[in-house]
Amino acid sequence: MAMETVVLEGICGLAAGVFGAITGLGGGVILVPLLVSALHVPVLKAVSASMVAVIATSMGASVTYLRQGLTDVRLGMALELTTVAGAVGGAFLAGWVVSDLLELLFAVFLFYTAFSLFRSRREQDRKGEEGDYSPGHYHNLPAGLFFSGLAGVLSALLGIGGGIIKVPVMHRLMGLSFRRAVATSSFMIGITAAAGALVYWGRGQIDPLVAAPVAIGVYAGARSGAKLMPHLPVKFVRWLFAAVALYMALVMLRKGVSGLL
Amino acid sequence: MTNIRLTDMAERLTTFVTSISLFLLGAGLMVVFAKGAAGRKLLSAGLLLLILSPVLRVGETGILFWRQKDRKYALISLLVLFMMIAGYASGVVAK
Repeated sequence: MAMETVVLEGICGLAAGVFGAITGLGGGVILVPLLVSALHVPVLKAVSASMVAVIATSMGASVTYLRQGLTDVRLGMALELTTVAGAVGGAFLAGWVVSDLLELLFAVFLFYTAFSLFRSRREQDRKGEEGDYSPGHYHNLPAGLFFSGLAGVLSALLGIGGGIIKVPVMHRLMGLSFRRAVATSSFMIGITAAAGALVYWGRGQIDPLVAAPVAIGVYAGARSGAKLMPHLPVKFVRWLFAAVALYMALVMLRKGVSGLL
Repeated sequence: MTNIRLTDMAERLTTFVTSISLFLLGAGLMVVFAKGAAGRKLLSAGLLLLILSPVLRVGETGILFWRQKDRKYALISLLVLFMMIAGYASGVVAK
Protein backbone atom coordinates (compact mmCIF):
# COMPACT_ATOMS: atom_id res chain seq x y z
CA MET A 1 0.00 0.00 0.00
CA ALA A 2 1.27 3.41 -0.94
CA MET A 3 2.35 5.94 1.61
CA GLU A 4 -0.02 8.56 0.10
CA THR A 5 -3.02 6.26 0.67
CA VAL A 6 -2.13 5.95 4.34
CA VAL A 7 -1.80 9.73 4.66
CA LEU A 8 -5.15 10.23 2.88
CA GLU A 9 -6.79 7.68 5.19
CA GLY A 10 -5.46 9.67 8.11
CA ILE A 11 -6.96 12.87 6.68
CA CYS A 12 -10.36 11.17 6.19
CA GLY A 13 -10.08 10.08 9.82
CA LEU A 14 -9.28 13.61 10.93
CA ALA A 15 -12.42 14.96 9.26
CA ALA A 16 -14.57 12.15 10.68
CA GLY A 17 -13.12 12.76 14.15
CA VAL A 18 -13.93 16.48 14.20
CA PHE A 19 -17.41 15.77 12.91
CA GLY A 20 -18.02 12.87 15.32
CA ALA A 21 -16.95 14.84 18.38
CA ILE A 22 -19.16 17.81 17.52
CA THR A 23 -22.27 15.67 16.96
CA GLY A 24 -21.75 12.91 19.53
CA LEU A 25 -21.77 10.34 16.73
CA GLY A 26 -19.14 7.78 15.80
CA GLY A 27 -18.46 9.46 12.49
CA GLY A 28 -18.90 6.19 10.56
CA VAL A 29 -21.69 7.81 8.57
CA ILE A 30 -19.12 9.96 6.75
CA LEU A 31 -16.00 7.84 7.25
CA VAL A 32 -17.25 4.71 5.46
CA PRO A 33 -18.45 6.54 2.29
CA LEU A 34 -15.21 8.57 2.23
CA LEU A 35 -12.99 5.50 2.47
CA VAL A 36 -15.05 3.46 0.01
CA SER A 37 -15.75 6.02 -2.70
CA ALA A 38 -12.71 8.31 -2.49
CA LEU A 39 -9.98 5.82 -1.57
CA HIS A 40 -11.55 2.58 -2.96
CA VAL A 41 -11.16 0.71 0.32
CA PRO A 42 -13.27 -2.51 0.30
CA VAL A 43 -16.54 -2.09 2.25
CA LEU A 44 -15.81 -4.74 4.92
CA LYS A 45 -12.40 -3.18 5.67
CA ALA A 46 -13.97 0.27 5.82
CA VAL A 47 -16.69 -0.90 8.22
CA SER A 48 -14.25 -2.65 10.55
CA ALA A 49 -11.94 0.37 10.48
CA SER A 50 -14.97 2.52 11.27
CA MET A 51 -15.65 0.43 14.40
CA VAL A 52 -12.13 1.16 15.61
CA ALA A 53 -12.70 4.79 14.61
CA VAL A 54 -15.81 5.00 16.84
CA ILE A 55 -13.64 3.96 19.78
CA ALA A 56 -10.97 6.53 18.88
CA THR A 57 -13.65 9.23 18.52
CA SER A 58 -15.15 8.33 21.88
CA MET A 59 -11.82 8.22 23.72
CA GLY A 60 -10.58 11.44 22.11
CA ALA A 61 -13.77 13.46 22.53
CA SER A 62 -14.55 12.28 26.04
CA VAL A 63 -11.11 13.26 27.37
CA THR A 64 -12.04 16.85 26.59
CA TYR A 65 -15.73 16.60 27.51
CA LEU A 66 -14.89 14.96 30.87
CA ARG A 67 -12.45 17.78 31.61
CA GLN A 68 -15.08 20.36 30.73
CA GLY A 69 -17.50 18.56 33.05
CA LEU A 70 -19.99 18.22 30.19
CA THR A 71 -20.32 14.43 30.43
CA ASP A 72 -22.90 12.93 32.77
CA VAL A 73 -20.89 9.83 33.67
CA ARG A 74 -23.56 8.28 35.90
CA LEU A 75 -26.32 8.69 33.34
CA GLY A 76 -24.04 7.43 30.54
CA MET A 77 -23.14 4.32 32.49
CA ALA A 78 -26.77 3.65 33.46
CA LEU A 79 -27.90 3.93 29.84
CA GLU A 80 -25.01 1.73 28.67
CA LEU A 81 -26.52 -1.03 30.82
CA THR A 82 -29.44 -1.45 28.42
CA THR A 83 -27.46 -0.46 25.31
CA VAL A 84 -24.87 -3.20 25.74
CA ALA A 85 -27.58 -5.69 26.73
CA GLY A 86 -29.52 -4.68 23.62
CA ALA A 87 -26.46 -5.00 21.39
CA VAL A 88 -25.62 -8.46 22.72
CA GLY A 89 -29.26 -9.58 22.48
CA GLY A 90 -29.61 -7.99 19.05
CA ALA A 91 -26.72 -10.06 17.73
CA PHE A 92 -28.72 -13.18 18.60
CA LEU A 93 -31.89 -11.77 17.02
CA ALA A 94 -30.13 -11.17 13.69
CA GLY A 95 -31.65 -13.48 11.11
CA TRP A 96 -34.96 -13.78 13.00
CA VAL A 97 -36.11 -10.24 12.42
CA VAL A 98 -37.26 -8.64 9.18
CA SER A 99 -34.73 -5.83 8.89
CA ASP A 100 -36.65 -4.03 6.10
CA LEU A 101 -39.49 -3.18 8.48
CA LEU A 102 -36.99 -2.09 11.12
CA GLU A 103 -35.29 0.16 8.60
CA LEU A 104 -38.61 1.79 7.72
CA LEU A 105 -39.52 2.32 11.40
CA PHE A 106 -36.06 3.70 12.04
CA ALA A 107 -36.45 6.04 9.05
CA VAL A 108 -39.67 7.39 10.61
CA PHE A 109 -37.86 7.99 13.91
CA LEU A 110 -35.04 9.80 12.09
CA PHE A 111 -37.42 11.98 10.08
CA TYR A 112 -39.11 12.97 13.33
CA THR A 113 -35.72 13.65 14.98
CA ALA A 114 -34.52 15.81 12.10
CA PHE A 115 -37.81 17.69 11.99
CA SER A 116 -37.88 18.38 15.73
CA LEU A 117 -34.25 19.55 15.75
CA PHE A 118 -34.66 21.80 12.70
CA ARG A 119 -37.61 23.54 14.30
CA SER A 120 -36.14 26.46 16.15
CA ARG A 121 -37.25 26.66 19.73
CA ARG A 122 -36.15 29.76 21.51
CA GLU A 123 -36.49 28.34 24.99
CA GLN A 124 -34.56 25.18 24.09
CA ASP A 125 -31.80 27.16 22.39
CA ARG A 126 -31.29 29.14 25.53
CA LYS A 127 -31.16 25.97 27.58
CA GLY A 128 -28.52 24.55 25.25
CA GLU A 129 -26.56 27.78 25.17
CA GLU A 130 -26.16 27.93 28.89
CA GLY A 131 -25.62 24.19 29.21
CA ASP A 132 -25.37 24.66 32.95
CA TYR A 133 -27.73 21.89 33.99
CA SER A 134 -25.47 20.00 36.32
CA PRO A 135 -25.04 16.22 35.98
CA GLY A 136 -27.88 14.21 37.43
CA HIS A 137 -30.54 16.60 36.21
CA TYR A 138 -32.74 14.65 33.88
CA HIS A 139 -36.12 12.97 33.84
CA ASN A 140 -37.81 9.97 32.19
CA LEU A 141 -35.03 7.54 33.13
CA PRO A 142 -37.17 4.42 32.44
CA ALA A 143 -38.00 5.68 28.93
CA GLY A 144 -34.34 6.61 28.41
CA LEU A 145 -33.28 3.11 29.44
CA PHE A 146 -35.83 1.61 27.08
CA PHE A 147 -34.70 3.64 24.07
CA SER A 148 -31.03 3.06 24.86
CA GLY A 149 -31.74 -0.66 24.83
CA LEU A 150 -33.47 -0.20 21.48
CA ALA A 151 -30.42 1.73 20.24
CA GLY A 152 -28.28 -1.27 21.19
CA VAL A 153 -30.57 -3.73 19.40
CA LEU A 154 -30.68 -1.55 16.28
CA SER A 155 -26.91 -1.07 16.28
CA ALA A 156 -26.51 -4.84 16.20
CA LEU A 157 -29.25 -5.44 13.61
CA LEU A 158 -28.72 -2.52 11.25
CA GLY A 159 -25.02 -1.90 11.75
CA ILE A 160 -25.47 1.69 12.87
CA GLY A 161 -23.84 3.42 15.80
CA GLY A 162 -26.20 4.23 18.65
CA GLY A 163 -25.38 7.94 18.86
CA ILE A 164 -28.02 8.94 16.34
CA ILE A 165 -30.65 7.58 18.79
CA LYS A 166 -28.97 8.45 22.10
CA VAL A 167 -28.47 12.17 21.48
CA PRO A 168 -32.11 12.97 20.58
CA VAL A 169 -33.42 10.68 23.35
CA MET A 170 -31.26 12.36 26.00
CA HIS A 171 -32.04 15.83 24.67
CA ARG A 172 -35.74 15.63 23.78
CA LEU A 173 -36.97 12.95 26.14
CA MET A 174 -34.72 13.29 29.17
CA GLY A 175 -34.24 17.05 29.07
CA LEU A 176 -30.45 17.28 28.86
CA SER A 177 -29.03 20.33 27.11
CA PHE A 178 -27.97 19.49 23.57
CA ARG A 179 -24.26 19.91 24.36
CA ARG A 180 -24.52 17.67 27.43
CA ALA A 181 -26.36 15.05 25.35
CA VAL A 182 -23.57 15.16 22.73
CA ALA A 183 -20.83 14.84 25.39
CA THR A 184 -22.57 11.98 27.19
CA SER A 185 -23.18 10.18 23.89
CA SER A 186 -19.47 10.55 23.02
CA PHE A 187 -18.62 8.86 26.31
CA MET A 188 -21.06 6.00 25.60
CA ILE A 189 -20.43 5.10 21.94
CA GLY A 190 -16.91 3.79 22.56
CA ILE A 191 -18.20 1.38 25.19
CA THR A 192 -20.86 0.06 22.82
CA ALA A 193 -18.40 -0.27 19.93
CA ALA A 194 -15.65 -1.98 21.94
CA ALA A 195 -17.50 -5.30 22.30
CA GLY A 196 -18.16 -5.44 18.55
CA ALA A 197 -14.64 -4.38 17.62
CA LEU A 198 -13.13 -7.09 19.85
CA VAL A 199 -15.03 -9.69 17.82
CA TYR A 200 -13.74 -8.21 14.54
CA TRP A 201 -10.21 -8.15 15.95
CA GLY A 202 -10.49 -11.76 17.12
CA ARG A 203 -11.56 -12.85 13.63
CA GLY A 204 -8.69 -10.92 12.06
CA GLN A 205 -11.09 -8.78 10.02
CA ILE A 206 -9.43 -5.48 10.86
CA ASP A 207 -6.82 -4.34 8.32
CA PRO A 208 -4.22 -2.44 10.38
CA LEU A 209 -3.05 -0.47 7.35
CA VAL A 210 -6.55 1.05 7.07
CA ALA A 211 -7.52 1.13 10.75
CA ALA A 212 -4.25 2.54 12.15
CA PRO A 213 -3.99 5.76 10.11
CA VAL A 214 -7.75 6.29 10.43
CA ALA A 215 -7.60 5.84 14.22
CA ILE A 216 -4.71 8.29 14.59
CA GLY A 217 -6.49 10.89 12.44
CA VAL A 218 -9.82 10.36 14.18
CA TYR A 219 -8.33 10.71 17.66
CA ALA A 220 -6.59 13.98 16.79
CA GLY A 221 -9.76 15.23 15.05
CA ALA A 222 -12.01 14.25 17.94
CA ARG A 223 -9.85 16.02 20.51
CA SER A 224 -9.88 19.25 18.52
CA GLY A 225 -13.57 18.85 17.62
CA ALA A 226 -14.48 18.51 21.29
CA LYS A 227 -12.49 21.65 22.13
CA LEU A 228 -14.30 23.46 19.33
CA MET A 229 -17.84 22.30 20.14
CA PRO A 230 -18.52 24.47 23.24
CA HIS A 231 -17.64 27.56 21.19
CA LEU A 232 -19.95 26.73 18.29
CA PRO A 233 -23.47 28.17 18.34
CA VAL A 234 -25.76 25.44 19.68
CA LYS A 235 -28.08 26.04 16.75
CA PHE A 236 -25.30 25.07 14.32
CA VAL A 237 -24.54 21.90 16.28
CA ARG A 238 -28.22 20.95 16.33
CA TRP A 239 -28.69 21.61 12.63
CA LEU A 240 -25.60 19.63 11.74
CA PHE A 241 -27.01 16.72 13.73
CA ALA A 242 -30.43 17.17 12.12
CA ALA A 243 -28.86 17.12 8.64
CA VAL A 244 -27.16 13.80 9.43
CA ALA A 245 -30.44 12.40 10.78
CA LEU A 246 -32.23 13.46 7.60
CA TYR A 247 -29.54 11.90 5.40
CA MET A 248 -29.68 8.63 7.38
CA ALA A 249 -33.49 8.66 7.23
CA LEU A 250 -33.31 8.77 3.43
CA VAL A 251 -30.71 5.97 3.33
CA MET A 252 -32.85 3.79 5.64
CA LEU A 253 -36.00 4.57 3.65
CA ARG A 254 -34.30 3.54 0.42
CA LYS A 255 -32.89 0.35 1.94
CA GLY A 256 -36.19 -0.57 3.59
CA VAL A 257 -38.28 0.05 0.48
CA SER A 258 -35.90 -1.75 -1.88
CA GLY A 259 -35.81 -4.68 0.54
CA LEU A 260 -39.60 -4.99 0.69
CA LEU A 261 -40.19 -4.68 -3.07
CA MET B 1 -22.69 15.54 43.32
CA THR B 2 -18.98 14.79 43.10
CA ASN B 3 -19.16 14.39 39.35
CA ILE B 4 -16.40 16.84 38.40
CA ARG B 5 -13.82 15.24 40.66
CA LEU B 6 -14.86 11.82 39.44
CA THR B 7 -14.43 12.81 35.79
CA ASP B 8 -11.05 14.39 36.50
CA MET B 9 -9.85 11.06 37.79
CA ALA B 10 -11.69 8.88 35.31
CA GLU B 11 -9.69 10.15 32.39
CA ARG B 12 -6.21 9.59 33.73
CA LEU B 13 -5.21 5.94 33.30
CA THR B 14 -7.44 5.30 30.29
CA THR B 15 -6.09 8.30 28.40
CA PHE B 16 -2.56 7.13 29.11
CA VAL B 17 -3.33 3.68 27.66
CA THR B 18 -5.04 5.23 24.63
CA SER B 19 -2.00 7.44 24.01
CA ILE B 20 0.28 4.41 24.14
CA SER B 21 -1.94 2.57 21.67
CA LEU B 22 -1.80 5.50 19.23
CA PHE B 23 1.97 5.75 19.65
CA LEU B 24 2.24 2.03 18.81
CA LEU B 25 0.04 2.54 15.73
CA GLY B 26 2.16 5.45 14.51
CA ALA B 27 5.42 3.62 15.17
CA GLY B 28 4.03 0.47 13.54
CA LEU B 29 3.12 2.34 10.35
CA MET B 30 6.60 3.84 10.13
CA VAL B 31 8.26 0.47 10.68
CA VAL B 32 6.02 -1.11 8.02
CA PHE B 33 7.07 1.55 5.50
CA ALA B 34 10.71 1.11 6.47
CA LYS B 35 10.17 -2.58 5.61
CA GLY B 36 10.90 -3.55 9.19
CA ALA B 37 9.78 -6.97 10.42
CA ALA B 38 8.11 -5.86 13.66
CA GLY B 39 5.69 -3.37 12.05
CA ARG B 40 2.68 -5.68 11.89
CA LYS B 41 3.14 -6.73 15.51
CA LEU B 42 3.30 -3.13 16.68
CA LEU B 43 0.11 -2.37 14.72
CA SER B 44 -1.70 -5.39 16.20
CA ALA B 45 -0.70 -4.49 19.73
CA GLY B 46 -1.75 -0.87 19.19
CA LEU B 47 -5.16 -1.87 17.82
CA LEU B 48 -5.82 -4.28 20.68
CA LEU B 49 -4.90 -1.65 23.28
CA LEU B 50 -7.16 0.90 21.57
CA ILE B 51 -10.09 -1.54 21.50
CA LEU B 52 -9.50 -2.41 25.16
CA SER B 53 -9.44 1.25 26.23
CA PRO B 54 -13.25 1.54 26.69
CA VAL B 55 -13.27 -1.75 28.64
CA LEU B 56 -10.62 -0.24 30.88
CA ARG B 57 -12.59 2.98 31.20
CA VAL B 58 -15.69 1.10 32.39
CA GLY B 59 -13.65 -0.85 34.95
CA GLU B 60 -11.87 2.26 36.14
CA THR B 61 -15.10 4.25 36.44
CA GLY B 62 -16.58 1.38 38.47
CA ILE B 63 -13.62 1.47 40.88
CA LEU B 64 -13.98 5.24 41.26
CA PHE B 65 -17.69 4.89 42.04
CA TRP B 66 -16.84 2.24 44.62
CA ARG B 67 -14.24 4.50 46.25
CA GLN B 68 -16.87 7.21 46.47
CA LYS B 69 -19.07 4.70 48.28
CA ASP B 70 -21.51 4.87 45.38
CA ARG B 71 -22.37 1.17 45.47
CA LYS B 72 -25.25 1.46 43.05
CA TYR B 73 -23.19 2.90 40.21
CA ALA B 74 -20.22 0.66 40.99
CA LEU B 75 -22.57 -2.28 40.49
CA ILE B 76 -23.96 -0.79 37.27
CA SER B 77 -20.41 -0.38 35.89
CA LEU B 78 -19.58 -3.94 36.89
CA LEU B 79 -22.67 -5.21 35.06
CA VAL B 80 -21.75 -3.24 31.92
CA LEU B 81 -18.23 -4.69 32.10
CA PHE B 82 -19.64 -8.18 32.52
CA MET B 83 -21.93 -7.80 29.51
CA MET B 84 -19.10 -6.47 27.33
CA ILE B 85 -17.06 -9.56 28.15
CA ALA B 86 -20.07 -11.86 27.71
CA GLY B 87 -20.85 -10.23 24.35
CA TYR B 88 -17.28 -10.73 23.18
CA ALA B 89 -17.25 -14.35 24.38
CA SER B 90 -20.57 -15.16 22.68
CA GLY B 91 -19.37 -13.51 19.46
CA VAL B 92 -16.25 -15.64 19.45
CA VAL B 93 -18.19 -18.83 20.21
CA ALA B 94 -20.82 -18.09 17.54
CA LYS B 95 -18.27 -17.85 14.74
